[in-house]
Amino acid sequence: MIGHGKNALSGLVAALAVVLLLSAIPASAAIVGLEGTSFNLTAKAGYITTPDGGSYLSWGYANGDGPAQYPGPTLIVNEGDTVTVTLTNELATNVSMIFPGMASVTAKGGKKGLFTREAEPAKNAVTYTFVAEKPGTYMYQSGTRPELQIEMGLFGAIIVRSATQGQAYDSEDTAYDDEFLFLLSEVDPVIHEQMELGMENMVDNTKWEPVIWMINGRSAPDTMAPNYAPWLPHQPYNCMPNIEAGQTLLIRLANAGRDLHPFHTHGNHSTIVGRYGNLLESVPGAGADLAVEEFTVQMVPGSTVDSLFTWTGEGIGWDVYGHQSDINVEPLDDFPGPGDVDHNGDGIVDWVDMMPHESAADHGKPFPVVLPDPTDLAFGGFYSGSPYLGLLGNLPPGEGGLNPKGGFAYMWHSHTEKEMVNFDIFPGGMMTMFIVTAPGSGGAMPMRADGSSVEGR
Amino acid sequence: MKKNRNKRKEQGMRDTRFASGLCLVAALMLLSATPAVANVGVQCPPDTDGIDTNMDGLVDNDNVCMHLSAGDGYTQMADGKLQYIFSYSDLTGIEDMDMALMQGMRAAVFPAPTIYLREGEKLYLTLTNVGMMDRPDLFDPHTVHWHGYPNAASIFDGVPDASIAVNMGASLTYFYTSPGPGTYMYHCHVEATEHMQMGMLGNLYILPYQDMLPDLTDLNGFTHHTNNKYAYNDGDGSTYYDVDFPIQLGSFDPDFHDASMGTEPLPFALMTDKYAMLNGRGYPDTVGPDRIATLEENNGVNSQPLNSLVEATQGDKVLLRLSNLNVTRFYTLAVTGMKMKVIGKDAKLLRGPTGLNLYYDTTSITLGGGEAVDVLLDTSTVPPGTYFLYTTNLNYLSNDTEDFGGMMTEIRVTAGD
Amino acid sequence: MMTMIKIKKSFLLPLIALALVLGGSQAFALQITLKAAEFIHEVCLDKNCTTSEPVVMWGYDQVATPDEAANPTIPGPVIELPPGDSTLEITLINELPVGTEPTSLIIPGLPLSNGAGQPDFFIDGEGRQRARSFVPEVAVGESRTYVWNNVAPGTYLYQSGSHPAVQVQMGLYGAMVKDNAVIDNNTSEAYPGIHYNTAGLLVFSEIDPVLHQAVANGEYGCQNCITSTIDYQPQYFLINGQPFPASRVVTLGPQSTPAPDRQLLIRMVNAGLRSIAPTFGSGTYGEVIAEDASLYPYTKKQYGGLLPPGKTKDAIATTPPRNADKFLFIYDRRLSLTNAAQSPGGFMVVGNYPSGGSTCFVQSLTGN
Repeated sequence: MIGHGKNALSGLVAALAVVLLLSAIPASAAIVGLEGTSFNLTAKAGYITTPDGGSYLSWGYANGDGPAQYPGPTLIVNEGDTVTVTLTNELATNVSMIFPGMASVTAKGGKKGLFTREAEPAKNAVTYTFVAEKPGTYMYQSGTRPELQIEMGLFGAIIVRSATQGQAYDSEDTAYDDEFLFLLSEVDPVIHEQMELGMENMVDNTKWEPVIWMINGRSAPDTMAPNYAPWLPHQPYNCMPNIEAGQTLLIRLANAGRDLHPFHTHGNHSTIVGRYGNLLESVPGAGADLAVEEFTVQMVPGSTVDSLFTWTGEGIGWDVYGHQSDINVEPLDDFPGPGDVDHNGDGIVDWVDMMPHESAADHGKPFPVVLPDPTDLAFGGFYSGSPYLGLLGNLPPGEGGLNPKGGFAYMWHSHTEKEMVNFDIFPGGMMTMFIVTAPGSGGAMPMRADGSSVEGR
Repeated sequence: MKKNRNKRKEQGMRDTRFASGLCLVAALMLLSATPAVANVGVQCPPDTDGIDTNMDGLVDNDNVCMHLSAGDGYTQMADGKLQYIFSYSDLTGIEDMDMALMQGMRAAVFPAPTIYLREGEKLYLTLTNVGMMDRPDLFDPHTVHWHGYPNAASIFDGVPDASIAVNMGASLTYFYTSPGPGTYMYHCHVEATEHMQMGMLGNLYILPYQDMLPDLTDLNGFTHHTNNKYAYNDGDGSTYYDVDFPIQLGSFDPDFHDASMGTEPLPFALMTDKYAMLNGRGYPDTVGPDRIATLEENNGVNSQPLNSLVEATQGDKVLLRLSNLNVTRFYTLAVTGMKMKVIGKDAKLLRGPTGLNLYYDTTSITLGGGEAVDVLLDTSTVPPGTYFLYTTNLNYLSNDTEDFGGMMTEIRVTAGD
Repeated sequence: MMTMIKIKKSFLLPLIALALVLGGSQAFALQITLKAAEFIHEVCLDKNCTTSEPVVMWGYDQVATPDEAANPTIPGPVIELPPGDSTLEITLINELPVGTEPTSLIIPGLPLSNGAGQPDFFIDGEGRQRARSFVPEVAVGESRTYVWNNVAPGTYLYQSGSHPAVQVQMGLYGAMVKDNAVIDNNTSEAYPGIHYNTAGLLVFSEIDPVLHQAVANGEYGCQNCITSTIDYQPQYFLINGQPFPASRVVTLGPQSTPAPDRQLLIRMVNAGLRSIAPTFGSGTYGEVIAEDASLYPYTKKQYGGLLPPGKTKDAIATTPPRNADKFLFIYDRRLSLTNAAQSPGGFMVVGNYPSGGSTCFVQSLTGN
């Protein structure tokens, strides 16, 4: 790395420190958006920004009179709802909305277009109605010159919630504790600059070459800033989920971009239970019996994937929860007493209880290696100083600091690594940090739509 | 891969104790949670647990030790172009750090040395950062990321932002159990876009317990014989194979490598790969056993030791362990004259949670970076001859500006008895 | 624009009957002759092709006799192998310009019955052996018969197996299809248990004019010329040889005048060099049943999907309800939806229920 990489890394740390100072709240795992059955969206322009200081004219769907959003508002509806979306156009060109995978879409008003009816500039709105027949993750997008208008930002996600709360689909195989959206997109700034300069006739779709990559409309490290961060008025959605060990996160992946993206979940495989808004079942009612576990999910443009992720540390071969009970430790006075058992089967009664979700086989097993002297190591901002979950260790001054609960941080990112940059600065782009905290740590706090946290859990 | 059984180094583990799990948050404020540290080199403890975890009948050989250096070196593309790389080289057996630095410097190989384990084995993987000899201005740390390791602990996950990375001149030992059979991969995660484009990428796979079953074990009607090999613990012999080949899809952007060697600004977002390769070579070098000369520039080390020539006797079941670790694009890889049966994805047998069989036949697979599939080729009805594994992104049948090359190798089927 | 090789049903059914009489042991062979030749393809830039971009291409044409002049197309003729036949014999006559290249034929996934595993090699300047083709070649001016036995039902791509980076781009590709059985006058069986009324064939391909220009001028591979196709950047995105709005679906199968809500088999073939994401424009779902002529163990219900280069996929859908006369049938979600810089265009195709008269869905798509 030639200097700028280091700067970028410290830039990430600095940016995150700001985030933490401002919010003092760990990101949680909940999807924010608009709930209801009737939505008024307005297509308008705004400027999106990137962490390297870039600012690009974009088009976005706004919630009524609100700012243009990149992506548009996440529409959260319930299975069976008849949903109405009224689109008002404040742009200077026709726009529209299509809802791939939605049944019985009807459009009223506006003018007939290739994909659907379109809202003309400064004319009456178009009303789209559809039935959210099946639970799952969907997208909406412009059906007018999509190669240009999706690039400009006219897309968003739709969450159709199952009639059974806490399930992705109408099957208990899809139960989850928390959910999060990962809406992927790319930006080719040349097109945005041409549009800003009124040079639409110069836009050549065949020369499209993105150099900015985003999750939920932000490039890392902005992905880790809070929802509705005031300095990102047109990019309201963050992407920094957080669960406790043993909890199940529903990952709602949607690729609004044009390129395939291999989405890699560090920390574990995830179990894909749905694609394109359909439960992966062999026959209706079978449950998710066609589910597959993958460590890198191939995200096809236009596709959505619903996948379940959990983390327990099982099989690591040492006590990742830090119970060094069998080594050099004096038991308490009442040891052995009721409940004191040999969890890991090594013939020694353990005096420390197991954590919920902890694997018995690894309970009490020592950390397997000696770590080098700190001067031999470089430390990450998300390193707690301890290899154990939920513990903080000694770190040299100025190191760490982004992980106050001693969680395990995992990079979740496009494994096309060139998409993990902001132009020539690494890390950035289509990347975020996902954090697992210890059971009972209160790590996963649901967030209100305004971005404030709901205490207690 | 060698097994090393060195004397166990002093561990000196520091205690950490807690009353119970739920008091943990309070407890962590009081106790140090950092294990002991020391100036350490290779750590390779003997297997003294008295348990035969790899099911080979021996109780004392389940620990596997490897020693890798991370540094720089050179490869030669199939059109003759020299490419400066970062990667790993195999120092297994070398404990003396001066010796390790001497042998590891400017000796990188691409792809990185293949790691394979038998299920039940424990890997102590020591990484020694020997520095980039031809880039003395760089002081980059390095890591190993075992890509796909389930339930990974962040300390051994190799993501520098989330844990630790090892500085120049020092060693860090990673510990992994073998988490389940299948095809994984490994790479450095420091400045991942750069270090991976530069070549810090390797094959990694795990052999299943099922290989070790007693002779004549019945697997749902399939009779296991000693020395039978399987891709997974399938329970029915359906992943049986005669020969297997790890093949990693990858590609280089020559402008990036040249800029790195020339200490020039690196093109990140505009990275464009021009050399599409299998196991670090473009066709026709993909089929040459020793075609890549030992480069003078590479400390006498054969920097591209792994070909991807698939050789089989008619009737063989051939297992291809396909992974993709390029950092710029997806590739589709096809086979001529026969079909592939896809039996695994991302180190998981293709079965649903209730056991439904999801294997499928195809002529090509499409992989992005960080994806892996296991495919079987059944050569029982394939006439002897030469077939091909090639990318149907046909413009990548090029070694940059040279034609008839790129991401392609041969499958040579010879007549049986 | 596109020719079809087809045995008339009245002729076919007795053949099947005969096969049954003979105990089914007798395999019938479809024997055809293809010529590979250079031609100028007009890439239509509007619906009626009043403006077009001429591109020098190499293509296939089916000829009745070797003397018949070639009139090649892209894609090449659709080869329909009747359900009763399991052998396909193609005699390939190489009429590419003198001084160009030997060529050959492959069907990915299908082993040749004559010459499998016998590629042609050359020795490069460093003494390394390199394959020039995947199967035995035909020199310019010569011919060779390629035979495939035991052809299973499905959708196939056929293409040049020689110097594919250049020859496939130049246009040497086409589709081959085979049904499992004819059920009745309205229904065919694509694969065992998969019935349909009408099939819509979509052969996707791309054109990067740079290569075509170089080849036409004899400037590929020489000094100071382009010497590889690594910098491929296609400008035109074709369905059955033409981009939107001139793109058409080719109809196959028993029903030429299907009503809405009938079983539609969509046979998709990617003869291009890049992945495509064909997606229904009308909100319907399809059941993706097979790829590369192999059935999936379980179908995949999707409104879009991935079609990598060189791959075929089959999906079953119902023809959309008649809400409107026209509807967007398929578009590429990778958004290759322009003709060079001109919008709209590219990988899109429209369906059409003509007002009044027959509810002819797909035939109208073919431009009739």
